[in-house]
Amino acid sequence: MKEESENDEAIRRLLLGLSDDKERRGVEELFMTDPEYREKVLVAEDDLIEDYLDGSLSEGERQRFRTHFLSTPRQQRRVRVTRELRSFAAVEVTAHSPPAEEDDPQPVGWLRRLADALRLRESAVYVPLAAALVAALVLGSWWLFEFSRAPQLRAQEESRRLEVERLLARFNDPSGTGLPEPGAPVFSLPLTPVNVRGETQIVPPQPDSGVVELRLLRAGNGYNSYKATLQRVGGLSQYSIPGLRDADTSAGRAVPIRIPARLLTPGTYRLKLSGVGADSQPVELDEYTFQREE
Amino acid sequence: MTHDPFDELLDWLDPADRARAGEKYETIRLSLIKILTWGGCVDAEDMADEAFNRVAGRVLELKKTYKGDPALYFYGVAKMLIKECRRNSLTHVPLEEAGEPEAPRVEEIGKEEESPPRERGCLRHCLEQLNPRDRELILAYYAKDKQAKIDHRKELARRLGVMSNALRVRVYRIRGALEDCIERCLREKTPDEMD
Repeated sequence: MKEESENDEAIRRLLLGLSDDKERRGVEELFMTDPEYREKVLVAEDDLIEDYLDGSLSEGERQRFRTHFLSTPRQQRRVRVTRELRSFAAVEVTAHSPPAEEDDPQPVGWLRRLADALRLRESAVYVPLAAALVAALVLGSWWLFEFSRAPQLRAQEESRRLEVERLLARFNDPSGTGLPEPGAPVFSLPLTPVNVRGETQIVPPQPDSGVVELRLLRAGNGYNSYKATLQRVGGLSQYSIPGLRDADTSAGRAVPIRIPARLLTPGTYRLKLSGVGADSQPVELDEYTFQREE
Repeated sequence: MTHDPFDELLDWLDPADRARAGEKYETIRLSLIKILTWGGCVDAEDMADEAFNRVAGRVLELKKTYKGDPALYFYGVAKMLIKECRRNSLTHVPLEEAGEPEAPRVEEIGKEEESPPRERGCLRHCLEQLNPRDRELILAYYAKDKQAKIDHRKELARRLGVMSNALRVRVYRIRGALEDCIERCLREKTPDEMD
């Protein structure tokens, strides 16, 4: 076990360019000649990239990763692809989460044995009793199942929420670096605050690769930045989008928010906008709603 | 008897089985690309081809005199090429920058990590080329990050009935196929052709 751990460390040192010549040669020769070891090194390389993206490398390792591991375009691309893959996977899995596994059918053989023991042979008695027992069993099992997995579900939900927020942050990065590829269809919709207008504005169905740009129109003083909170009516999660800026649009001064179309499932959505001034304290401003059509 | 250096090379790698020789060739080439990349060679693929050219030029002699795993001979050639890479890169760097490389600034790192649209298009295209099971597995594997990923991957391994390490290797292989596809896609496609 200790030897394996030392070997893992040697591989990591090699990848970060921290090995001396002897150690480097040892690892590389095995890499060239032993298929299993080769795979081990390559898996370790993937792990190192993920540790970097997770921010779990020490400061020293991070520096070495940047100066050594990322020194070639090929390695830079691997990191970018891993990062994209993780973003894409987070959204895909969030959008297409499989339904919870069904419980196993409840065994009923013991019911008959119980009925036998109680000599309840008449179906007029047996059937309602069996139905009541099965219902109680199913409800009890469901309650126990839900109770036992509630913390896990909450953690999963929280993790999904964070993934979506990360994606929204990228799409709304003021530098514009997180924008989708040129040519991706963008649907823009100016939204007026709920206290100004009467009818709900509609977002028609968009292709998955599309982007919905909501322009939150607002009057009054400008702020250094804005934060929006997005929630689907009836949904549990709220998604924060900080660091937004206002801009002049064809419909007037507005805070644009870009949302990947694939995240918007049909339903009504509510957006709350806050302004952040020089004192960094958020001030609640307006509320907006829109509906994503079926 | 063949005289084509490439045929001679394959014959040296496995005289009995040409298909196995081809596999060894590909494995050695990919390993060399890795080692050259770790050594800091920017054009690792071209350098790996150069390693094969150099070995092919001596293969008749090697077949008579060299004892041991041919992969190690290639490794020796790669080590020399890494030295050449470093010398060449130094000759192209102004004197004041030739010392220990500085860490890129944060904004430069962000730039390096930002996928160009074409790369993203190729990633999506290549994910679609995977068979549905592999696609589902790789997306499930990468769906979580940080602390959540540890429990998530344990659960994934449990559901598949494999050990965590076996899952990592399985995903690594899918990932390898994905990266090969991205590489081909980037070489072949123009941005207009992206899905």
